[in-house]
Amino acid sequence: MSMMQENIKSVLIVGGGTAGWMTAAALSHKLADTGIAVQLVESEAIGTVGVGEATVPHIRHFNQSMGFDEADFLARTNATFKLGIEFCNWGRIGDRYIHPFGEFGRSVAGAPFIDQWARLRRAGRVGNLDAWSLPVVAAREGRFAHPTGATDALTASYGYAYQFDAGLYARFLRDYAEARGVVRSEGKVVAVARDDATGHVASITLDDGRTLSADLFVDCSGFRGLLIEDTLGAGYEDWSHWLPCDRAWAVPCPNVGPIGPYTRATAQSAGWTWRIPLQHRAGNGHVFSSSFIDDQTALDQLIAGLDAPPLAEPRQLRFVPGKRKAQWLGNTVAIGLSAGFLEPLESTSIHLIQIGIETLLDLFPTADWDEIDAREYNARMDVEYDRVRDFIILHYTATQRDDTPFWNHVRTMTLPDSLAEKMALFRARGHIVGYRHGMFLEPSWQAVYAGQNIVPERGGAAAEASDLRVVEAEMQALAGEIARTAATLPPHAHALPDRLAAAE
Amino acid sequence: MSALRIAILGDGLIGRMASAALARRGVAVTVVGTGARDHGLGPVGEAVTLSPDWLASDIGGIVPLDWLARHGRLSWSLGNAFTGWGRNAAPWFMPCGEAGAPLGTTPFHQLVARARHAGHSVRIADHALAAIAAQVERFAFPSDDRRSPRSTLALAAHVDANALAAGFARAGEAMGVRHATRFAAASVEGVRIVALTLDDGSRIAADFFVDCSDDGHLVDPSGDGDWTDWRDRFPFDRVRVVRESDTAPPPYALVAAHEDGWRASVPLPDGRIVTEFSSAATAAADATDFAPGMRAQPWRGNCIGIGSSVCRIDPLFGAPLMLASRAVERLTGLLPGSGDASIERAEYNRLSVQAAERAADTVQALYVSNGRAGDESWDRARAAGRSPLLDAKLALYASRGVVRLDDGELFEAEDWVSLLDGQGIHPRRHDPLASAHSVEAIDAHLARIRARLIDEVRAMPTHAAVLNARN
Repeated sequence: MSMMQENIKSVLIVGGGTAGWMTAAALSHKLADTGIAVQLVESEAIGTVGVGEATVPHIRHFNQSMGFDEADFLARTNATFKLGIEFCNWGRIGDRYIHPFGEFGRSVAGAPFIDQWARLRRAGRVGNLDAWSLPVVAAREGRFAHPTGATDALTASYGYAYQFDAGLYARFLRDYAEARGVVRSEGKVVAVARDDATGHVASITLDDGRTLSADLFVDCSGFRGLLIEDTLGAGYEDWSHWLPCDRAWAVPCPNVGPIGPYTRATAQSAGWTWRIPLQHRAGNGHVFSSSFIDDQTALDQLIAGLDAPPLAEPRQLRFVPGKRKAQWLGNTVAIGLSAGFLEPLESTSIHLIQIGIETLLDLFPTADWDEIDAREYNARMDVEYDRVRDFIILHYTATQRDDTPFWNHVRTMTLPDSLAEKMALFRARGHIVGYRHGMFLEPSWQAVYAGQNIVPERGGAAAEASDLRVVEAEMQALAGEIARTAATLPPHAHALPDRLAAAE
Repeated sequence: MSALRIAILGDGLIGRMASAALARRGVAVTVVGTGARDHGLGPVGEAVTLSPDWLASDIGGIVPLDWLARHGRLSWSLGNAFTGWGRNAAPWFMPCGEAGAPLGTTPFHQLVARARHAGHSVRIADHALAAIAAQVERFAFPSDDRRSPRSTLALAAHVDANALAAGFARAGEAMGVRHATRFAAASVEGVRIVALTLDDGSRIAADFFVDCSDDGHLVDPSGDGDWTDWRDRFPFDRVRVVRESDTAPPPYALVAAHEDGWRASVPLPDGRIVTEFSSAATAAADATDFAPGMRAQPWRGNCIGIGSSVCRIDPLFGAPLMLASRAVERLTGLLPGSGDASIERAEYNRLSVQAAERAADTVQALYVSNGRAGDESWDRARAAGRSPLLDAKLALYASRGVVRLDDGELFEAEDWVSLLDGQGIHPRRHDPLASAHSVEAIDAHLARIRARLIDEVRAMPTHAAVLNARN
């Protein structure tokens, strides 16, 4: 008995940019030898959103699975290393903390670290968690080394990510994809044709009159959602009531001083500004809420906060926070901003693209278009977006700021139940609600809670039975060990490509 | 600050396990016996399966396996053999450890699916070292060396519950656990228990009370409506446990289904322990009731039930021990050192229900996929209602061999593949990415694996020899 399964034969990715070229590169690699052809259409006339882009450690798995050489990647994308994100003025004006890629501390006097930290914090003996994270201390000192050593060693206690020029990364991926047979077409989409019987997208027509057809379409057209929304009408779930920021200004400026191995997010009067250091410049931007501040004032705040005069005209982006009600409809899958938009506060944009690609590959369709694939894809992506959403909302709601109407609004707004329950458990007991799917594990939640002054009211049995003086001594010893270890790490610039280190 | 005080009712396996785990976290624990030898696993807890996941857990590391082996109460396991369950009634084997190896990034079972779609007949377990070794009753310990085929093995064991309980008792007492006997009654004030009264009139006061008795003397004084009955999902509610003599214990358990029930033989060094499940229609006269189900609030007031007092599930895949063990871990993680515990309690109950539901799904997957058409109980089991998550999981697997994992799962993806494939569920489609490999290349890959594993098995000692050498 033999049953021949019919595979689809072609994929057309609509839109270049980070999402389009990440998808093209991954498909060209993972579909190699399957006989499935991959094309991409993009228009040089349409700008991409790509600015200085910060990532999370998962990007390394993506790069590794493609076989990229790290040094080559760093050199060609002007990338720097990233140990975390520094948050300034979020809990209160003057507060600073770093959300690192790594766990805090280790068990102290036989009890979980967070319980012991909370006891000392309640007693007014310590500040936030920074001193108990090697990547945080190293980031503040401008140091970086690749994690190394035995799994329980401090020098292996963290992960890292990159900050790179997204335009250059897209170019890097394009070279890779084209070398593996992805065919690129230049042109603007002027028309989309659908199959009468199935409703599937059948073909697109470009401004030069060419028509491109395919079995599977991947919509990487950006906010607009050329296929998923304009053609298929997926609908959009609007999260503005939780995330009032809806515009951003972006502008580059020169780096001043040594390049820090971290991204900075500074809270402003009605939003926040980012600073992302690349090798050759810093990307800057201001994400703000048009309901609370006008464009010009927002721009003035951004320019006033730059480390150096701008290198280009500021550009404005507008968006609606939320996600597409279905990210896979018929034969079309939306990946990137066409699937949803969450402000880049936690550097999640590229990660969500990556998850979209991995999930698509895991559920890659066949010619019979079993609807279970789209159903499963949408269910999984909903969880990913919802969990990122909750984590971003946490930064706004966990504030004590009452200096502007914006902060009064976000401090007092009604939260999604899924977040309110998580916060209640941490407040009461220091407990982090775990989950199998979705990014941001325990240390990330701890970093933001503690960094924004949410201190658990009580700890576990083991912590509360231990001697406070012993705990304090052990905690101090651990902080000392972390500080001494951090001091042995080389300056960040030493880890960057030679040409940069040589230039300094 | 003084240590939190916990009194545990039931000095069998689960009570002793909980006491050692809690004492390790600085809790002052007193274990109170009921006079009965209740292991907290209901009528089925004579022998337990220590799965690889359990052995790798914190709690699984408390009692040294060497100690159990030295006391002659442990037998090594390479997995479970199932007969009479599947669609084609062919026996199948669920190995402890890996089956096959990926080709490029294509998972092994997707390669198998592609080969089958080309008309080839392939058994996944034929490419698992544990399964091949089990067939000829050979055994070896897992290797840390990734180049060795033995690195694909995952250690598991069968053990006498009395011996494991003794091991936990020993470990607990070394950490200050006290033991008292015999329980007479609980002193209750409002919704809280304040003390356990013993038959000599003495009282054990505590902050929290953990009920690890078989029948739930503390959690269910009133028989209130908190119990979710699973009898409509699991067809057999009579059970009987017998000890049978055996010459040499095989390195696996045998779970054999028949017209109206199933029979699990768990080998121990001094004979096997046989657990027989059946419906009331064919039950032996000395069989006891086994009503599967769970309590929606295993933690109420200051009393937490762990084990069969709050969740009864058919003892397959080591599920009851794993559930109890995870409950203890959950409790040690959430127990507050002071104050009102209402928030912790709500989270504990949410996670406990989730874990019980997912374990029930796992066991039910075996029942709903049974191939015994025409046997009344089995027909009912196949048609029984199931959770939406189990439905979604089965549908996705049947469609394309992808395993969807949810929060609180008992199994990892490869265990699900093993179970569903063993039961004869062959995905309608293989992963289209597997098309990158020609069927010839896959055949060669399968043959290479099989040949290498057979060579390896030839070099392995017999299970009996390993037991004799260690004991």
